[in-house]
Amino acid sequence: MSTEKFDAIVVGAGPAGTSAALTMAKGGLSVALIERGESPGAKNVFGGVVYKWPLEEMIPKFWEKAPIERKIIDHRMVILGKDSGFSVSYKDDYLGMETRGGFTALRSRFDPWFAQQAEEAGATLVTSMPVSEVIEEGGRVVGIRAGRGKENELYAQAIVAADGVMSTVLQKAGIRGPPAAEDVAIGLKEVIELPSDTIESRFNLKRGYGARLDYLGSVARGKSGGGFVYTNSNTLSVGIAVLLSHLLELRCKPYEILDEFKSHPVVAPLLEGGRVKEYQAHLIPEGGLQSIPPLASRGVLAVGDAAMLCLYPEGTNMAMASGVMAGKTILESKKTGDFSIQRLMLYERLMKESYIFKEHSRKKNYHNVLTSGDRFNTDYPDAITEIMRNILVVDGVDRGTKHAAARKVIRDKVGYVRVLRDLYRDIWSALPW
Amino acid sequence: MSAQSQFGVVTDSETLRRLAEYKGIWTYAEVESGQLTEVSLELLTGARSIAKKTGEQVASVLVGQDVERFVAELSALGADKVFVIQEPRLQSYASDSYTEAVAQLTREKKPSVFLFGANRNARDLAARLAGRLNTGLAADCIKLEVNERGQLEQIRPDFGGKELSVVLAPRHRPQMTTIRPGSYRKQEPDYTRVSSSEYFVPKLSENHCRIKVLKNVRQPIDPSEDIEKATVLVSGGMGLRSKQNFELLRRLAGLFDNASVAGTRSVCEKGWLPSSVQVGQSGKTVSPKLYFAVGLSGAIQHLVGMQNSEIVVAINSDAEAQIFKVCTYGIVGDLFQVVPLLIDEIKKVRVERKLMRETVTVGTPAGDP
Amino acid sequence: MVSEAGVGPNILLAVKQVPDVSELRLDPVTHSLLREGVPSVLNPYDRYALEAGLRLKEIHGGRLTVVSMGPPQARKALQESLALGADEAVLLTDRAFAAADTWATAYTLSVFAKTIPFNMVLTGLKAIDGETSQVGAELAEFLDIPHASYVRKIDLRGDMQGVTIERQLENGYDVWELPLPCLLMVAKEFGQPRLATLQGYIRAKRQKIRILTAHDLEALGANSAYFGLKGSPTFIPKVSPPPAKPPGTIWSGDPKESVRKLVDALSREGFV
Ligand SMILES: Cc1cc2nc3c(=O)[nH]c(=O)nc-3n(C[C@H](O)[C@H](O)[C@H](O)COP(=O)(O)OP(=O)(O)OC[C@H]3O[C@@H](n4cnc5c(N)ncnc54)[C@H](O)[C@@H]3O)c2cc1C
Ligand SMILES: Cc1cc2nc3c(=O)[nH]c(=O)nc-3n(C[C@H](O)[C@H](O)[C@H](O)COP(=O)(O)OP(=O)(O)OC[C@H]3O[C@@H](n4cnc5c(N)ncnc54)[C@H](O)[C@@H]3O)c2cc1C
Ligand SMILES: Nc1ncnc2c1ncn2[C@@H]1O[C@H](COP(=O)(O)O)[C@@H](O)[C@H]1O
Repeated sequence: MSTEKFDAIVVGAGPAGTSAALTMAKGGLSVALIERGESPGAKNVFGGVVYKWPLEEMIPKFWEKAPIERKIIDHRMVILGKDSGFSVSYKDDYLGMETRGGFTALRSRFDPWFAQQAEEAGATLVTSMPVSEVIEEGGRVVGIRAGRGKENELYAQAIVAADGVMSTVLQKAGIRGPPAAEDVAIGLKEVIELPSDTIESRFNLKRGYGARLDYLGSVARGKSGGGFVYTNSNTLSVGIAVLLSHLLELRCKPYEILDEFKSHPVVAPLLEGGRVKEYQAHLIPEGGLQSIPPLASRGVLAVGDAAMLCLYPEGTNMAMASGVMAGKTILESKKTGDFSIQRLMLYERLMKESYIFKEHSRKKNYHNVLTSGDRFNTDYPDAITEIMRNILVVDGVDRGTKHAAARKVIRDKVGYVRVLRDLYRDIWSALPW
Repeated sequence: MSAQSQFGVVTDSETLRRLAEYKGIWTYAEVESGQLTEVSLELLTGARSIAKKTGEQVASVLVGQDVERFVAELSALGADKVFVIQEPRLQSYASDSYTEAVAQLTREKKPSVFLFGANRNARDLAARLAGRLNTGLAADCIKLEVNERGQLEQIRPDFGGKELSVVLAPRHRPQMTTIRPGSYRKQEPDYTRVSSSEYFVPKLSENHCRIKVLKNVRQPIDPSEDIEKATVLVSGGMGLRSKQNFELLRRLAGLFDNASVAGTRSVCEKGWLPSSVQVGQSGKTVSPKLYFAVGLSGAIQHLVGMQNSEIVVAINSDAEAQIFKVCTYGIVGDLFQVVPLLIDEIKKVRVERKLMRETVTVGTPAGDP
Repeated sequence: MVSEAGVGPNILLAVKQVPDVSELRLDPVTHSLLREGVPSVLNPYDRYALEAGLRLKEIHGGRLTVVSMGPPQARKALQESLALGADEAVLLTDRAFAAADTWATAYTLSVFAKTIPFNMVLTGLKAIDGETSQVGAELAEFLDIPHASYVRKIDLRGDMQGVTIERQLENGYDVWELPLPCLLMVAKEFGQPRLATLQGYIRAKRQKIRILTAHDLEALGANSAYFGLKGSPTFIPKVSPPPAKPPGTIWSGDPKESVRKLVDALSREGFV
């Protein structure tokens, strides 16, 4: 049997890989999209929000056909104290039009649908095939292997590594090693079943619309972590993300922390009466700018989580955008007939000018926030909640005295200068807004 | 659901009249290696329990050569009548000739229920026969009931026992079922029972005997490997760590009558045990009275093969192991500590008990029975 | 095509798409089976039948056609069969076929089988969802050809006139000779089935799967009264969770103490 050569092989049919495959297939390239799961998304995990950009660029008016759970019109940010919470929220029907505020989805439904779009455009999707090796020739990667023997080899002009945070392709090609414990968080998630009208009344929502609640502060026993509660049609996605290095320090079972988050007095009432349908865990790249590997190296274009492009809770959009750019780069090569390593470097240039890099640069201190520990996860939340509690209780003490007390809390707990510096340098850059 | 239940109600008088022509609860008396199979005898218990509810007679069907010698045994165990089909061409089982012979008898006599043991050849015959008679067949049932409409409710575990289904064949007769070995307990034989036998001569043409049986090779099963028949099974998993350590399990098994050592797929693949004693989805299904699960995690593929055991004792060092979810008794601990202690303790208790009995006997005044 | 079909045996192979039983979970409260989201796979037993078909093809040439009756998703099982090396795939799919029991399934498959030339039909020994081992024998009955089950070895005569097979039984084996055409239900003792390769999958993706609906089968002479639930002699009016086992008694801590309690319990049950 002659071994045919594809224009491109994309490894991994997550948002990044499918975007690359779709972009190339639409441009007429022959593309193999290889996925290890039974079906795309079978074992994939994420919190649950997908964004309009850049999906719309690939599939105009996708909101009319994609498997959308709810359109997000209510964003709430909650800072958790020990047993209280301070929240800011923004609700706007405008966000629901054409899913401008993002939409919730389930990977087991969204990924197969998305991959099907690539298939319909002409990409060849192969599932249940874990890629195990790369094939190298003359210092460049020319193909992949998914088992023993010639029949399990596949060659192409260019390879796209879209195989997620543990990327076998990048590791086997020697482009990067396994991610360091400080550079990844572990994400834990449960899907909790509730009737859709219960969700609507509990979250004050109209039919078909949804809310996203993101939690900061005392989520993970004083270690840096975020929590979330996202509304789906008749389930809630509830989870936390904790830096792996911190989790290792805590020496406890990850689900214990998730259980603590779920039973926090501010969170628990939202989940009441729900039945756990699924429990999942997955790593999230959190290393920021400095953890990004060479994006175009030795004939391999790294996209999405494989390239550590993720700024929690944004990941799928960066995955898709990088996939599109990798796809466009290879389309360019096809046009000029030049698949040289040099030519493929175009991808890196496109990326450096993109939203993804700009956001990563803006949030370059985000990683400090994550790793510097206590101040952000206990001191601030404790200070804020102590102040709020003090101020909101009407007990005959005048506000002037209370404000003075508040200033003292800040001074004692963290210090003014520190607050200003943290605010300016870290917190501001860490906010998703 | 209600539409489905409606589906089982037959009201049309023509059909009812046709169904009423079928009478009698039949069992297939399978002869293998010169004797009746165990399950063929168990079937009679099931057949009698239905007959009691429907007021019908129980009949068994014997097929082969020189099989009339089994008539007495069948009637002692519950058959009111035995049909004997004897023919040189039916010397040993072949799917085509056996099907035709039994089909001819069934068409003529019209039983309402026909039960088969879920042994390999009997299942094979039942399937082909159901096709020929254009009737339904429920496979691998574990229990039979009669509902208020007089229909046979055939109860079977689905998805490896995760679900129990009731199977009905409301418009077709006979209602055919294969019954899993061990589902019914053989009755005490009563050789004073009266029964009749009837010889049936099938008309077999060349076309009914297209299959040539060239050889029947039978190896008596090594009793220690016959885990489907064992009363007590001591089953080990990867926790045993080496082939030699299974000696420990053999010592434990040695303390019980009719006990064998079995294991998970992982240990059989390692070659620590022969694959004939693998329990589970791709191995054997067992239902002993006592099942020791030692150093095995309780993967679902393993559980489906042993979950019908009466008592499950789990010994595992991991308190979270799945096997603890299905056990009757469990010990969280190192098997290399627990099993030797267990062996000693059982021995000790037995010795003490024996001693007690002896002392009691010694102490009883003479003359008592 | 003609030469391909002319030389070796034409083999028809029935395969089924089944839920991956190892992924099935029970609802912790109602103890009913959660079917939702359970991935579907090619029935593992059918892999042995495919292996048999592929080995026969390697020796004798010929053509291997796979057929499945099932929902549109059953394409995946067919695609897997093509990836393994089957030549052609046919899917019988229609709402009218839904909830068929083994009799109606065998009937429906037989309608299609009668429209193509074959020397041999292969099936798996059983499907892991229903585990009946009935469809094969019933299909053979509808096709009026002899059959053998538990087949572990197949010797096909070069002249395509007969086949000698071994049947694995509980305590030994039988050797039978069957004339062709015949149906063989292949047991796992046949031998380790091969895995599909990456190239195989890619070739399979490009092959078309022929789809036949109830309407198409009627045009081929089928009686639609025998399809699906309506045509099935048996049906399942109710499904219940198995009787819940009371949670077990579990001891941890001092092994001596635990063992003593266990032996006490076993004595009460009459084992010691
Ligand atoms: C708990 C949690 C919450 C999150 N919340 C959000 C959120 O709300 N919004 C958001 O935008 N992002 C979120 N993210 C991040 C987001 O999930 C990722 O950034 C995004 O999925 C990355 O897409 P990807 O295609 O690069 O990788 P993945 O989605 O990981 O896809 C990689 C694919 O490659 C396949 N694969 C892996 N190895 C191989 C191999 N060897 N051979 C073949 N195939 C292989 C995998 O099976 C998988 O299908 C969250 C992540 C987690 C863990
Ligand atoms: C299609 C398919 C079919 C399969 N069919 C079968 C089948 O028929 N039968 C089968 O068994 N499996 C089958 N399996 C495999 C099954 O999934 C499991 O892999 C297997 O049962 C695990 O075997 P185990 O329990 O021996 O090993 P493990 O899962 O490795 O468990 C070992 C256990 O030993 C415990 N342990 C270790 N040391 C000690 C100690 N010192 N003291 C006490 N406990 C200790 C550990 O805590 C652990 O729970 C099948 C799998 C597939 C995919
Ligand atoms: N719906 C189906 N379509 C095709 N083949 C089937 C179907 N159902 C059963 N079979 C075949 O019959 C064999 C035995 O299945 P069963 O009798 O259901 O245990 C399977 O291994 C398949 O080869």
